[in-house]
Amino acid sequence: MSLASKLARYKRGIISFWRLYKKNRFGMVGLVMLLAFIFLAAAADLIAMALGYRFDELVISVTSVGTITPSALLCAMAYGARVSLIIGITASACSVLLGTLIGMVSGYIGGRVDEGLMRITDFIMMLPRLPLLIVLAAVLRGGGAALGLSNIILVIAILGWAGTARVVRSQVLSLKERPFVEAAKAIGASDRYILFKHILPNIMPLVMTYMVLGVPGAILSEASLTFLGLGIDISRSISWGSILYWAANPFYGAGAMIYITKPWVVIPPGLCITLLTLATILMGYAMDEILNPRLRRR
Amino acid sequence: MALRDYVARRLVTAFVTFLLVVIANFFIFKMMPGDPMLWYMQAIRQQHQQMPPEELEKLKAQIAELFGFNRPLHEQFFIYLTSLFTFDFKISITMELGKPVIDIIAERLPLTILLLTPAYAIAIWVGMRLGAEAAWRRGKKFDVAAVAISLFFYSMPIYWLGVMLQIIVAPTGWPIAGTLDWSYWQGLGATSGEKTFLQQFVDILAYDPLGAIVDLISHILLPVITLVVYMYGGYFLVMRNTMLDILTQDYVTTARAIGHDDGTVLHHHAKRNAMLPMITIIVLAFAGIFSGAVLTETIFSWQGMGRLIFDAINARDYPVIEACFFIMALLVVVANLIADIVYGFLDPRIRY
Repeated sequence: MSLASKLARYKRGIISFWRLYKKNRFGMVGLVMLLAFIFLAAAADLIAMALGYRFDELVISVTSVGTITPSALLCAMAYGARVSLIIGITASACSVLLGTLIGMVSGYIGGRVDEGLMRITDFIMMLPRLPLLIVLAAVLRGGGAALGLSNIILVIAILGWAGTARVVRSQVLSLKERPFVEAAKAIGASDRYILFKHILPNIMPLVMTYMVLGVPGAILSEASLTFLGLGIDISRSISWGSILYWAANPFYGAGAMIYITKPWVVIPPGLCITLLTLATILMGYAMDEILNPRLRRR
Repeated sequence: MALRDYVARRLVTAFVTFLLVVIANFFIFKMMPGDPMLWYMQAIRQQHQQMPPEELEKLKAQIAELFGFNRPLHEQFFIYLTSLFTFDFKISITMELGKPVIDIIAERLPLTILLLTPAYAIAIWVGMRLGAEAAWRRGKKFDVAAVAISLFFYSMPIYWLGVMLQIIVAPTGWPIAGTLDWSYWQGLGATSGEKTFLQQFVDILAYDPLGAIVDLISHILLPVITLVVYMYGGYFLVMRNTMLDILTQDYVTTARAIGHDDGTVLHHHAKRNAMLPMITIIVLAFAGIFSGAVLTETIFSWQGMGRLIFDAINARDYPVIEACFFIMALLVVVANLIADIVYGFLDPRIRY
């Protein structure tokens, strides 16, 4: 197949997907919300410049929450959108990639490999997520400095692949019994060729859906970790979680809850986390409804 | 496959998973930065500043002997295994120096159970009730509103919800953190600060039963509401999906054709069958509530296991963290096993 015809096929696929997606009201609301956040994230530097803040000044006003001003908060929120989007999308993509690979290998090879990989999957799915995240973050943190962006993505991806692996495995189990796989084997195709050229394209819609559905979990995980003071390094990136951490620091104890007197500092970050998560969940469900044949309304 | 084989298979799987947890538990904490011995010495120096050096050395040797720090890795692993399976978790090394870990957990676990049981029960009840109702009225206003609201709460970070509740309630003087109003009770002479939580609570209960319960409820209300709002969305969505599936089944149509009214069809035919998949979801979510407990207990200064994990990790109290993980894993694995077996009994189709 030539490149041009391949591209044309993809284009046709995307157009027909979009035609169905447009009709999904929840999905469209999610998309509009997501676009608004992407716009805010992209404009972070511009907003900071227009209001006259440097990044390090923002860090100081976030960490000394008693003196933060509304305009500084707005700039910090824009930078926070950037961090949440980057972490949400990258961590979800990494964990789904890992899950797809593991699921494909597990389902296709079967036998002992499958048994072993599925025990590990069970193990990760069964255990409480947040305590594990906290411990892994503490392992990666080393001498006590906070985590960088890539480390936090790593932590989330390591614990996030199990669900995808399960679903991909069950799909591969049924796909590998189909006649087209047998036909490919009969003409001498290698296992790798069959996996990547015949099986992978068939599970692609599922993988894409899981990539979107994984974003909210990743965003919430980062925000929770950072809120507990075990997440991202504030001197390098301001996240919504860190604004909440500095405003409602659990270390202050019950006696000194600064946020009670300054609700306007804690409302925007929490609301933004909620809305961004909601946007991606809505989009994921909409995609699931279109791409998952079991749910499609006929 | 016979039911007995099914149960045996499940038992083996659960045991393997549990072993994986135990092994991972050991090596993850070995990988954590910093030598536990150093943290321990630092804690001793802070708390006993006048201790003579020779006694310090003696203590150090005792601790090293207790945990096997001076032995090769495989012997350390063996010591670790025996201590876990005999529920002897050694002593806390930084938080409450020298106090047996099992005592600390015995104090904290009841508080977590006290908080999680009502929250879990209410969330499941509300979620299933609303889910069934929404599925019944698919596409109507009630359904759309219930889905939208549930998704909104489902997306909300639980600690932010807690913070918002505190902000709303704070001006009224309602207690926004803690377990009981200790200073009030101690001021009355009902109990003293040296006792453990449970002993103090029993004292207070004997002193003024009604007042104690009112005090406890006023403190537990906000964290329970937070947990319910955070958890119910998941149950709602699953219940709704399951019911949508079931309502298209032939036996529902048959029940209608016979002439049963809507209530009978919903409650006696559809809902009962929807319970089956819910059992799995409810148990699988059991692990998830520990995550919720860490955040909720931290925000509301509720001195349970969740807060203990958070504090222990910050204080690098390895024996405490290991014990917490062990107990959590044990609870989760046992719960999963029970769910699998119950499922096997309830649904004769599940035999593989």
